[in-house]
Amino acid sequence: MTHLIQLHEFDGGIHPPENKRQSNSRPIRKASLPSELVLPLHQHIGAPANPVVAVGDTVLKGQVIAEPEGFVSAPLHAPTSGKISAIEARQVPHASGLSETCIVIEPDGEDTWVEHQGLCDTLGLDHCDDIPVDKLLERIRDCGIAGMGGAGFPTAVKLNTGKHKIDTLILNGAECEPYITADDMLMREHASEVIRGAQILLQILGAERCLIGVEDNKPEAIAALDDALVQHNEEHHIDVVTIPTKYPSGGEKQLIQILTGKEVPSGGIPASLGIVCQNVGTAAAIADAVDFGRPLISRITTVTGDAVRDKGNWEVLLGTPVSHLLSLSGYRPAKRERVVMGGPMMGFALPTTELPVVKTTNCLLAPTEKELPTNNPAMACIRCGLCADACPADLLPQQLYWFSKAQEFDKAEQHNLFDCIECGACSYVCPSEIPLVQYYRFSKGAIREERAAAEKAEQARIRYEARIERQEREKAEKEAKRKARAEAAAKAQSVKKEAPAAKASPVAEPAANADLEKLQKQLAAAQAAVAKTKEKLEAAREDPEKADKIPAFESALAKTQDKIKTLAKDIAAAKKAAKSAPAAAGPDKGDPNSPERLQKKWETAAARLETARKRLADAEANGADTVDALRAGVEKQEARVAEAKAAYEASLNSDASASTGASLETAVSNNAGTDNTSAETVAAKPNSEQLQKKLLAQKDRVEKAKERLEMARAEGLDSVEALEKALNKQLDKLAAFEAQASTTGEV
Amino acid sequence: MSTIIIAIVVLASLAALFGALLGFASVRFRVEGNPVVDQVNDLLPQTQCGQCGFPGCKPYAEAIADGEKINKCPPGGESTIQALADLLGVEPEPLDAEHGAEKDVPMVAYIREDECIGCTKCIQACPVDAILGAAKQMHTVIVDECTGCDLCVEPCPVDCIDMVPQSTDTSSWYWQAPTTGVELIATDRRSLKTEAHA
Ligand code: SF4
Ligand code: SF4
Ligand code: SF4
Ligand code: SF4
Repeated sequence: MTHLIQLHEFDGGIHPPENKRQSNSRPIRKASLPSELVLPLHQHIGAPANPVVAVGDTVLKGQVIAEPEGFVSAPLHAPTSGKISAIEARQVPHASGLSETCIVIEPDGEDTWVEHQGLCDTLGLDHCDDIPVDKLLERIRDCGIAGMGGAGFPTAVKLNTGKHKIDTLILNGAECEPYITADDMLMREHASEVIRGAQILLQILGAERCLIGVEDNKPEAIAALDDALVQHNEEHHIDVVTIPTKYPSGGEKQLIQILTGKEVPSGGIPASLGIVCQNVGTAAAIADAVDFGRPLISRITTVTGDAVRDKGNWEVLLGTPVSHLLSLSGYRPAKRERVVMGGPMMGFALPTTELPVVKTTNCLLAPTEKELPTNNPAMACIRCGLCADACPADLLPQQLYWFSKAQEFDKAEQHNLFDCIECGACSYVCPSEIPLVQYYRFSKGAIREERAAAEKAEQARIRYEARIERQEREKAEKEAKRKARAEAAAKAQSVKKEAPAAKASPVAEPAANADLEKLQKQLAAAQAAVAKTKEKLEAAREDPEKADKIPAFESALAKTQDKIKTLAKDIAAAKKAAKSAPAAAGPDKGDPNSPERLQKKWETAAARLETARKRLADAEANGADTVDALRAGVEKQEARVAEAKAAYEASLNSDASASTGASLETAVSNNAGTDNTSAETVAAKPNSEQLQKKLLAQKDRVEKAKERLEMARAEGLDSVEALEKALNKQLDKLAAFEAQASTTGEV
Repeated sequence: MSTIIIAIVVLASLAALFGALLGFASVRFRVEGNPVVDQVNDLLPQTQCGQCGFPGCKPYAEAIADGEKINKCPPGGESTIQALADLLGVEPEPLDAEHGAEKDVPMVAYIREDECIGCTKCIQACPVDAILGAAKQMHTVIVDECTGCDLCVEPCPVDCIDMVPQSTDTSSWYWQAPTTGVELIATDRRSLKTEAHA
């Protein structure tokens, strides 16, 4: 120590029995490899990491197995070489005892490192003192370093101080909590790494000085650090400061106050005072990462308590089961005994020992009932005020207790509940043995949950409003479209009235005709396809070898026929369009129902009738026995003539569209192989009555289909979808009929 | 005489000046919407479930501002009623059971994805667009956005939507308050302890 540092004191604090001697009297031992390592993805504050390996992959020691997700997060590395045996939810060491996703590694025992090297070599620099700061930060982030003092905040994020100018770096080596000696042993045995870490941190932060605060109950650690300072020639920047032993001097805010006399404002961060605080273990890990490229895959953990025979510190791979470590230390569980992760003041009892050691596990405490009795039932608060005297954060624990108990969270917040560091000093001194900290943890959690709910409600409100807005916009758009269409229709109507018959609008018609031609071509092609498929089908039916292909052909046939039907519908629609463009383009040569053709038909029919009559007359004169047959023929022919005449007359009427469409449909259905000759008549003589009947029948069918669908829905049958389709088809047909009926009605 | 004229001129110009100032302020610092409605709306849980009988929280907020009863929102429950009563200076009333009961755990919708037929009916029902999907495609709920309003459950033709309690993970979990038993005095305590050991 070269500078004289004026020490300050924080209010409150307690002096519980230290109980450190048990575990700091022997050197750190290396824990053996367990049979499996369980690595929770969420060992740090922030978002859980994202696995980048799959089950069955082999990994090398130090290989990245999970990438950080987002800014506040940290990657995860394989602590040893081996095989990924599972990625699954396992119980994690957390007060809740909940399960979270973990990567499980089955070690192969080789412990083969992945290729790694110091940052200096990676960058190929000559002078390892001037590595760019961003590279250093990147390395720290890539090595998965998170605060090892207990909170586990990703170090690279904490070092990103933004606009704050940092002048002092504080390394926390106070280790004030009873029983724990992990940092003590680390400072003794790895003092050089700690100092090297401090150098790197100073460079990153651009700070002038570094204070390493160590409680005066660790003289060996202080001596080791002083030696290391001399080795590194750093006596001028880095000071090892001995501070008096008092719990909780290792609290970040308390240590800052002791060393600098400055108080971190409520809700503020130390960086706003120009100070950054890091744990000594974190500093050593940073040195390892930067100088040797070794990620954070192991840590030093104290195993202590009277229930273990062999108390001491272990260098243990992350993911090692607690039970493994305990058995190495000779754990003798007795009745009603617990294992606490962390110290007796701030730790939590583990629900089972089959939980892994994680980045923040500094201590496993296995006390006997005598050593650390379970809590007695709480008694009433006697308002003694001892808790307020003990509180290092200058809070009023008694008030906070009343508010938390009454769930008056807003009042608790007003009394700075969130400044409570949950040190447990108040519970420790409380003569009524009230579990005060648990009350504070509960209210903090409830308040956080409330805040999250409020945030979510705000989000929901925004989304709801956005949805309403969108719906309104869509409605307006639809309305506008509808209006536009109505206007267009009105215009068309008026044009139609102005120019009745014959005068086609020159633009619309060719387009419509072009469409029509295309559709007709497609129809022809489809018909050809049908014919071919039918042929093939016949062949297949005859040939037993091809029998297995029949279903395929049949389905193909059905498909093509379907297509033909839709094409026919399209054609009808196109025709209607062409016709509705002012009175439709005069007599159409291609149309089998054009008046001219119909006239011809009528004429030929009449001529045939003439000849038939002549023959009949001849036969009657000759007394031949064919008379009857001939008479019937004549009658038929007469009927045909009458039909043809009617058709011709009908076609002369200005709007023949309905008949055209219908006849086309029948024509097509004939092609498609349906026997439907009678429809010809309907086509020729659009009969509104018949249509009406069909319409009614169709309506009936739709009703039935609907009923069936409802039933299927009610019973949750699988056929719902099919029924829905069927209903839609029926509805389409109904619409078609209705359109037809209305056009016929006009005629 | 001239003093009177001066006084009149001065007063008139002052009046004109302040009138202009006030007019300007009323345009410049105008508050959009009805602030009471917004305040009430901020207190409602924004579940948008319509259990209150209004098509959403905002409409109910508007109705409250017009004198509607404040005890009709089950998702908000007693705490919301209390907050509304505080805001509006009225007596809190117990939740109107006619609109439903308060749920003790927050729920979220979950679509059993292999049963979804992709009918999009739930999307149309969701007031906060928390369901993702397209016609004939599998649909799924964006859990973070779901308010647990139940509205999507009914329209599903194959009943593949369940309401499940929101899961807790280690970041949302928190300690429960210590169970407060009987408050003991010192002599009680000794006997209790020996009992526990026996
Ligand atoms: S737990 Fe909180 S209230 Fe109690 S002494 Fe520590 S800081 Fe103060
Ligand atoms: S120490 Fe315990 S008994 Fe005394 S005032 Fe605080 S809470 Fe009450
Ligand atoms: S009942 Fe539903 S819609 Fe109505 S205010 Fe409450 S959360 Fe909103
Ligand atoms: S997903 Fe369902 S329960 Fe969730 S908000 Fe949307 S409609 Fe409501």
